[in-house]
Amino acid sequence: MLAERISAKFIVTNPDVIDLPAIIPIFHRWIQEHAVDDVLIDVVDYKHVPQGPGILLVGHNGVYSLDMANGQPGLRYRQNRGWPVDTTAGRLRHVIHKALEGAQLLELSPELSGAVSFGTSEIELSFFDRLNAPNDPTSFSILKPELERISQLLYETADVEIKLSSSDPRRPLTVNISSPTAPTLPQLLGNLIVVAG
Amino acid sequence: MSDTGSWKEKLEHQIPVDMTRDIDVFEGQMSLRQRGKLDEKVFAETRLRLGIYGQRYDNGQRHDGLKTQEIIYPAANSFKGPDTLWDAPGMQRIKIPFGGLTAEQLEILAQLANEYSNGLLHVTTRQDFQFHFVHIEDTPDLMRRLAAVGITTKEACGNSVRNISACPLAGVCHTESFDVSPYADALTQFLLGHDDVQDFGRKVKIAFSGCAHEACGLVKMHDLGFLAQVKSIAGEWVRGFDVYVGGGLGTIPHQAKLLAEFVAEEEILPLAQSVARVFARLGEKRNRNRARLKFLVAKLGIEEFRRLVREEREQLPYDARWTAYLNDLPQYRETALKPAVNLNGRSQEPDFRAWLETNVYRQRQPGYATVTINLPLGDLSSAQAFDLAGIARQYVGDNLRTTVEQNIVLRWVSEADLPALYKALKDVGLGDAGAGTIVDITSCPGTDTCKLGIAASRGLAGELRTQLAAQNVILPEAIKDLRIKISGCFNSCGQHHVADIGFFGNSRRRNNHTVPHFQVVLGGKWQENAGAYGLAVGAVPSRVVPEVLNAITNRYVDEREPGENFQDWTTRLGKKEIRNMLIPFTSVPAYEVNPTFYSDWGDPREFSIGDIGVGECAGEIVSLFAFEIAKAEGEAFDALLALEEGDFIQADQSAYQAMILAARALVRNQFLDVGDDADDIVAEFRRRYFDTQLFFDRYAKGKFAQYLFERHEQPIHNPDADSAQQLVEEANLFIEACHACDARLAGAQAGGVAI
Repeated sequence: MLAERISAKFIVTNPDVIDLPAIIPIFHRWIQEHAVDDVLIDVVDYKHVPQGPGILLVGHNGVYSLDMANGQPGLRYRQNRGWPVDTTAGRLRHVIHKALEGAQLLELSPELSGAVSFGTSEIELSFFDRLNAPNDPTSFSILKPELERISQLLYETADVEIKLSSSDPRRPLTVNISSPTAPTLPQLLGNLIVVAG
Repeated sequence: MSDTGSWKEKLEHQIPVDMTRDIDVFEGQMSLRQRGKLDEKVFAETRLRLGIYGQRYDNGQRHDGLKTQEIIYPAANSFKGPDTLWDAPGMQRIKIPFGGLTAEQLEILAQLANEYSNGLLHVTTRQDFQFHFVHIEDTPDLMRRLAAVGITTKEACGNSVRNISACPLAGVCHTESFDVSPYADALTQFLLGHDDVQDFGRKVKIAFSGCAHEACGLVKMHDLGFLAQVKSIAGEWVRGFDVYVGGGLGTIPHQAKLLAEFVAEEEILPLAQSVARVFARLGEKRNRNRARLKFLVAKLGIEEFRRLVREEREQLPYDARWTAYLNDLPQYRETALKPAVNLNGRSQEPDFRAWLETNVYRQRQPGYATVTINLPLGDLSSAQAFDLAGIARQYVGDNLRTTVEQNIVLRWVSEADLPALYKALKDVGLGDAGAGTIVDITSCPGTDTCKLGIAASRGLAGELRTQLAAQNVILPEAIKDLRIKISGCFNSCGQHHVADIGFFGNSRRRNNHTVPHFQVVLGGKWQENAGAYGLAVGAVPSRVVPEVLNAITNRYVDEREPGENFQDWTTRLGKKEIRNMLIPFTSVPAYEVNPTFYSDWGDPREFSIGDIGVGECAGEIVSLFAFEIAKAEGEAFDALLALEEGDFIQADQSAYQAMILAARALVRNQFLDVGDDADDIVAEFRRRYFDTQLFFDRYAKGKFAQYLFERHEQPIHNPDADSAQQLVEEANLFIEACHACDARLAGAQAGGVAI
């Protein structure tokens, strides 16, 4: 079975510079300029919620957000529907690719003057689908080989760590991938294209 | 990841049959709507009555700050209501009767919020939860998962009885007459899906209060309000309620009037039913702006309304449910998880003391307290909700309630646990002090998500909260307990009329631009069950509202007389002087000088009112027949699906049931109390429509009615493919004939068509 809702998140390396209100006009501009490939709907402001969803750019298929979960600001891309592929590997590649694109766009935003940068040595993948991907050891064991394949190709090393974020079955299945190497965002995007190809 | 099928299969044995049926029928109606076989207005009202509401931009248009852009969804030509695109995200409202919530329910809400929404739970001013940005195709599973833990969305929106609210301190309060919780619960169960609440022109809001002098359940701003009273009769204390009717906020607020004094507890359900029947019969149906119960009461006068209700009550068919719940009342009680232990003698940090002062209510049960979790703008994240459920399990068990001030309370906290509980809440970002004070601002969704929103009520509320919280330590005592409530438009969903200081959004044309403004409303009374409504004193640009708030509160602090409260001060000051005070704030600088005046709080786009849509608060004006026949059509569609799947027994049953429902839809045009028994429905249909030939058309005469009679009188025991298919076709023909009959009769009533 395929998970229907998956997200990928890249953590900000310099969280002290994050000013959530500054993200709002950037996401509005993305709508004006059709900066990302989706049917974009609106910008949502949840900055008042501690360690919450942050600022969201809601699209029909997916949602970009400057997410504050766990006190770790990061660019999250979450796909809810309209998947271009029907394999777990393809879907993982897709959300990672979209998250990398979003992170790169944000880093390059003139409004931020290059102040924000994203770490590339870690990826957080969450599966918001308790029917098809409950947070249990079985799901993780089914998923792990795919995660190993994609992370090895992304990071060009087998020395990656893949672990469950929490064993609490109430919470969504969340996996952290960490690598000893930290390629640049363009390098990761390039590796992903190689993977996809 | 395992092959787990669907939520429908997985939860099959965990959901009550009637809830399963409602959700399955809705799913069928979704299919019908997508195939263009169900009218969009009927479908809209159907989904509204399941809490599935429209959201801003769902017409596919959005002003991006520069121009209006079209939002081109994949299903661009598919609609879920008039001018409401199928693919556009919407809001799901979830009823929490009297705010009562268990830890497990909170966990499921948290799961659903992060699967189907944005990972956020929003508490409303009616003690509901709302999720935003939900796709309609996710709603059946969302409702199933709620139903599995005893939560319904049925009649959360639309022209129905909305969530019945009650004071969150009911049962633990020092001043209440008695705990109203089980009464609110009983009336909820009684009215949910009741035949007599299906034909309203607008929604009906009901509340229960335990005491008259506190804000409590706010009964005076409700369509129907029950205020608990006890009375000594023949030496025994007897429970009853003063019943109020015809209150409401909205554009034109009305204070409820006393319908009946001290109604005995065994009479409150039939009385509510009688009010519903009078409202359904005589309430306005065409002009939605005059369709609330308050307008009917005002039009008839309370004396005549009272007479009509009394008359209706005398004619009501007896229902055993009116009093059945009373047998369970003696057993109704909440159970504390931990023994009562006083807090005395423990060290207290300053931040804990501040929280203790504002967020903790000492219960009438010694050693226990109720703790308010002060949610910013009524929001908490899924992660916080999981944490909160865990905290509840550790300290109070299932004793949680939502509040109309958009907070959550934990009841039955052993006082000795307060320091540890505070730390636990603070660790997950839920330890804000200031509950029920000036920083605890209520706000409707406004332009964030509401189709009717004019200005950014949440943006303003967030800004004021931030500013006030920063000054909290130095705020004068006199203003700390003032209440601020904000609505994004004049419809008062943020309850601005009952705040000390209220604001509602509007706009003004200035310097060739549209500028967001807020009307200032002063002097409302939260206490005494929303005892008085504030008055609008003038509009100011949205951008200067924080300064206006400072000016008003500073002047109150400086000029108030000893013991003078805010309402009295505003009365003494007078509208003219208050307006004079606002005048310096009303000017708008040129766009080039200060463009921030031309955008709203939290939204950098240049302000526009072009995104305002048609609200769904009023529901769709759909006739009772149209609404009921849609159920028949859904059943007929199920029959078709069963036929396709080769399940001929089910196809036969569903087709027959579709005919019964269609006949019932017609019968209810004449006889509301026909009930659900198939024999009664067929007999009434025969007597009223067949024998009178009202059902007959010029060519087929009564032929289609015979399909119903034959199947009803001669059930097929082992239907095969042929007989099932024939019955499915006959059911569809019968439904069409019912439509035609209703149209002929409606035309005849309007004087248009001869029959």
